[in-house]
Amino acid sequence: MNARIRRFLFYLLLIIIWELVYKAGIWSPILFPSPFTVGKTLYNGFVDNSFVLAITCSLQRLLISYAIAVVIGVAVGILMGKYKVIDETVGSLIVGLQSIPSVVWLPLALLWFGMNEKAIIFITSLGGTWTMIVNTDTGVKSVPPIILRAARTMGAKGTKLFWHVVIPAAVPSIITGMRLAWAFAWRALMAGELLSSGTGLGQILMMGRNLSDMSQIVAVMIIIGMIGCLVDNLMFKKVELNIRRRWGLLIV
Amino acid sequence: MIALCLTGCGKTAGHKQVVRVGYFPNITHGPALIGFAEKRFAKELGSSVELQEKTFVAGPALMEALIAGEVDIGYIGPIPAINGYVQGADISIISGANNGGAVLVAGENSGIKKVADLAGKKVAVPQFANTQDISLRHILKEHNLKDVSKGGTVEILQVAPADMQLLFSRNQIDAALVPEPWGTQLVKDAKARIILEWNEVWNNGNYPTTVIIARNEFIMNKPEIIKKWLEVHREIVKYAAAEPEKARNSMSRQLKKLTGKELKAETLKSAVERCKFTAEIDPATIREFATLSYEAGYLKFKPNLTGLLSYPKEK
Repeated sequence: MNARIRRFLFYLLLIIIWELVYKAGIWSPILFPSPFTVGKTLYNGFVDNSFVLAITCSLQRLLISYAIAVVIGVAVGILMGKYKVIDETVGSLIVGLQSIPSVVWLPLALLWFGMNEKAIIFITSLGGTWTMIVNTDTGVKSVPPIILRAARTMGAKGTKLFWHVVIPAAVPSIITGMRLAWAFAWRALMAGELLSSGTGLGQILMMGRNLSDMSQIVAVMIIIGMIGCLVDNLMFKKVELNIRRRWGLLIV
Repeated sequence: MIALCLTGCGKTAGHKQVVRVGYFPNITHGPALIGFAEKRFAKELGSSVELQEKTFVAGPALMEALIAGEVDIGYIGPIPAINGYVQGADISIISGANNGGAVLVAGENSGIKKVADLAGKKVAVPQFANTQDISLRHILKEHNLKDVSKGGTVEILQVAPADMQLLFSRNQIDAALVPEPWGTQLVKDAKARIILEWNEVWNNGNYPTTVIIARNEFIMNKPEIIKKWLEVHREIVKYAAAEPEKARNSMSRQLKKLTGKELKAETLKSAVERCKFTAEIDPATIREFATLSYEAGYLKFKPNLTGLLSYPKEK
């Protein structure tokens, strides 16, 4: 409770500072909109449904891409963790690919898939996949030796040991990977939508630019931040906390 | 101290007066291309003025620069000018620069022969809420067509003109409304077909695609520079009509300098023939543009453009 009140007061203070800076008139209102204008834009956008449509569209893309990223990421990560050959070959490539920002793929994606959903889904999936692979791989490799030894003493071997001991032990790391992959995919999606065509939050933001409407830009930025924050707080933090508690990594 | 430096350094370099001008490397911005290529502006303004050119690829970016006070005079489409003005930008349209110069083209496999065939097709414009986008929506309206977001069948996409050729060849778009020289290039290189010539798009081609705007602060403080600028502009318009070949050579030279690419002489010729350089402004069409922009949902209310158009009328 207390933390909530503190948080509320903090944001209230931020908005007050924002309003004061606006009132000080350092920048013209067209460059620096007031919290009131932005609030009005947010309100209008939700009332005329355009923000809701854009959010739905963006989240839909994100969910598809994210599912692809998690499935491919976990599969490749497990293979890398289990087979040394794959780790030595594919692993090195993944490290290289991970350092390429996913939006860099956009020109290629537009050529391969055309100006449509597929191109954006492609780069958004890429955004999450590498992190997912790396985290799964790390999880598989860093199972505490004591657990492995205990399992072996109890007679677990080969595939049984792998599926019943190693994989569950890698879950905390996989969950961390899922959380990171979500954040990376979200960023890739926004970059893709900004540069591509169609509908979505990125597009509404660009429209704000086309119309020189700074309040629309700020409103969309707030929505993007809030969605990221909500998903992280409501889903991943809780899941991660539960897993950690189950694995005794968190002493409460 | 900082404020002093900002205003001081921004306006004068040494004892020179700095005038910053924004335009696009584009045929519809021809008068600016000619003026800079032949150093006409520099000659008229004299050695006490330092001219800084800034080139942009789209109106919104130039509008941002004007609002931020980084550009004093800008060649821009009327729609970004209206959008900026509606948001509160302190600017005025001081002259026309070009009318027409945009064509509606369709891909060779699209099966589109007339505007009515656009139903169910994908049509590209360089940017949403720009002058071509608004013109396209006007054409659709005249033919009782609607875009998808309004419950119709025509899908409007925003595609950078440079990418259009590729998307045409891969049948990703069926038609496009583009300014010159892109229209001519699409016809020559992507075998696109002209559906509406420049003078059929709207009002016999008598609608502005480029206007000259300036920050009101600059207009008030430097009226003599604005006056000279407009004199040179009128001369260029006359010269381009009287000696088209020389004018084309100058445009070509400036485009080469700005983009590193050379336009083929015949492409340039046919592109320039679709443009009508002018110094006139037709306030009625600009108001009409604003109405269309409002009807397209880009503007939340029908704006009163009096301030934007209130620069003293041409003598």
